[in-house]
Amino acid sequence: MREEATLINEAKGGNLSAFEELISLYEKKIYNYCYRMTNSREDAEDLAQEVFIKVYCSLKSFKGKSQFSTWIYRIAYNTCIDKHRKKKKKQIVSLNPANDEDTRNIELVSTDPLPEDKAIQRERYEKIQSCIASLKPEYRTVIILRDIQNYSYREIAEILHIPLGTVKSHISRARAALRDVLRERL
Amino acid sequence: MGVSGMNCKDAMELINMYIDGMLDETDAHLLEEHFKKCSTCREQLEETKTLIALVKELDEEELPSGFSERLYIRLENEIGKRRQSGPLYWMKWVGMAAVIAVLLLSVRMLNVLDLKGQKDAEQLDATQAESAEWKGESTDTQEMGDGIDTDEARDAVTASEESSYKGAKLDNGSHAPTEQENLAQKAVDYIKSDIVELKVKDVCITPETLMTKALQHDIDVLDISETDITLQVTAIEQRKVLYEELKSLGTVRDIGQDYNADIISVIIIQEE
Repeated sequence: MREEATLINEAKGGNLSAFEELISLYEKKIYNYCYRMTNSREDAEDLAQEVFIKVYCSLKSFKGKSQFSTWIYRIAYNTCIDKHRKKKKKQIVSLNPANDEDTRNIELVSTDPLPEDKAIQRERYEKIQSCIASLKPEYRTVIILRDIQNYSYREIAEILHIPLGTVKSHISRARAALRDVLRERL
Repeated sequence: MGVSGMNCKDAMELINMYIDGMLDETDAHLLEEHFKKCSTCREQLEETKTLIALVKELDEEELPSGFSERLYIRLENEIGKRRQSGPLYWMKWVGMAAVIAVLLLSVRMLNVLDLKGQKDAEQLDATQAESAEWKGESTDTQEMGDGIDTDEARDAVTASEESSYKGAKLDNGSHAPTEQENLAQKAVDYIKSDIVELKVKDVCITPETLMTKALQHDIDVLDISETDITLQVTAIEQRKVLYEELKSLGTVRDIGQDYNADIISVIIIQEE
C-alpha cells in the first residue's frame, strides 16, 4: 500500500482510484464513529458516505496543516452534529432519540439464533451503546474518540477545534455523565 | 497542591488525566499518595477505570456489506453530475444571455432612437457580446455548485443582474440603470466585500456550522478560528448562496472595504 501523503496528492490531482484507496483506510473508523454518534446503522452508513463525499469535494482545501485523520474526523463530527440539529428540529417530541433504536436493536437480538450468553452479552453492548448515545453530542464525541477509538487529548482538541483544557474538562464530565446513566440502566 | 499533599477536590479533577497518562510525574506521584490515604478517591478511580473498560468492550462494527460499492456509486454520480452539468448548464446560460441581450437591446434601442446616434448602438453591441461571453466563463466555476438552480425566473433575474454588473464595469456608468436592472439588484443579493459580520442569537451557530454549510456548497474553507471563518469564494453563485445561508442564520452585514477579493472572512457575533 502506498503512503497516505502520496495518496492524498494523487487524489487531489483527480485520481479516483487513489482517492478510493485513501478512504479505504478510514471507512470503517468513520462508519463506527457515525454509528456511535447516531446509534443507528442506517444513519451511520448515510452519514459516513456523506462525509467521504464532502472529503472528496473539499480535498483541495486540505493544506496539510493538520493530520489528514483529524481533518476527516472533523468533517465527520460536523456532519453528525448537523444531522443531530436537523433531527432535533424535526422531532421535538421525542426527548430521547436513543429510545426507538434501542428497542429495535433488542428485538433484533432476541430473534437472533445466538447462544444465550452471547445474546446477553450482545444486549449489554447495545445498552452501553444506547447510554453513550443518550449523552449530549459534545460528551458523546469525546467518549467515542478517547475511550473507543483511542485518540489522544491533543488529537481530540484538533478534531473538535477546542482548547486542550476544554478537552480535559469534557472528558471528565462526559465520563461522570456516562457513569450516571449506566448506573441507572444497567 | 501544597507540600502536605493533595485534597479530594484536586484529586477528583485529576483522576481522568491520571488514567489517560496525561499527568507529569510530580502530579501523578502526589495523586498516588492521596489514593493511599483516601478511600473515596480510590473508589472513584476504580469506578472510572471500570467504566472505561466497559466502554472499550464495544467491538468495532463491521461495515455493512456493500458499503464501499454504494459509496463508489455515489461518488461516481457526484463526479458525473459535475461533468455533465458543465455543458448543459452552459447551454442554458447562453440561452438566457441571448434572451437578456434581446431584452436589453430593445430597451436600449428606444433610448438610442430617441436620444443618441449610431455610435452608442455600436458600443452597446460590444457590451452585450462581452456580457454573454462573461457568462460563458462563469459556468466553469459554477459547475462545482451542487445546488443547481432550476428556477427559471430566478435565473433570469440573476442573469440580467450579472450582465448589468458587467455592463457597468465596461461603460463606466455612462448610462442610467434601467428599471429592469434596478429591480434585479433589489431581488438578488450576495456577499460583496471581503469581511462579513453575522449577528446570531443561537449560541450553537459557530464557525463550524458555517464550515459545514460551505462544504455543502463546495466553498473552500481556508481558515477557521473560535469566532470566524475564512472562505474562498470564486463564483458569483457562491457569493449568493453564501448570503442566503448567512441570512437564514442571523443578521448579515457586509463591512469590508475590498470588493475585488475572493477571500471572505465571516465573523460571528453572539447577540445577547
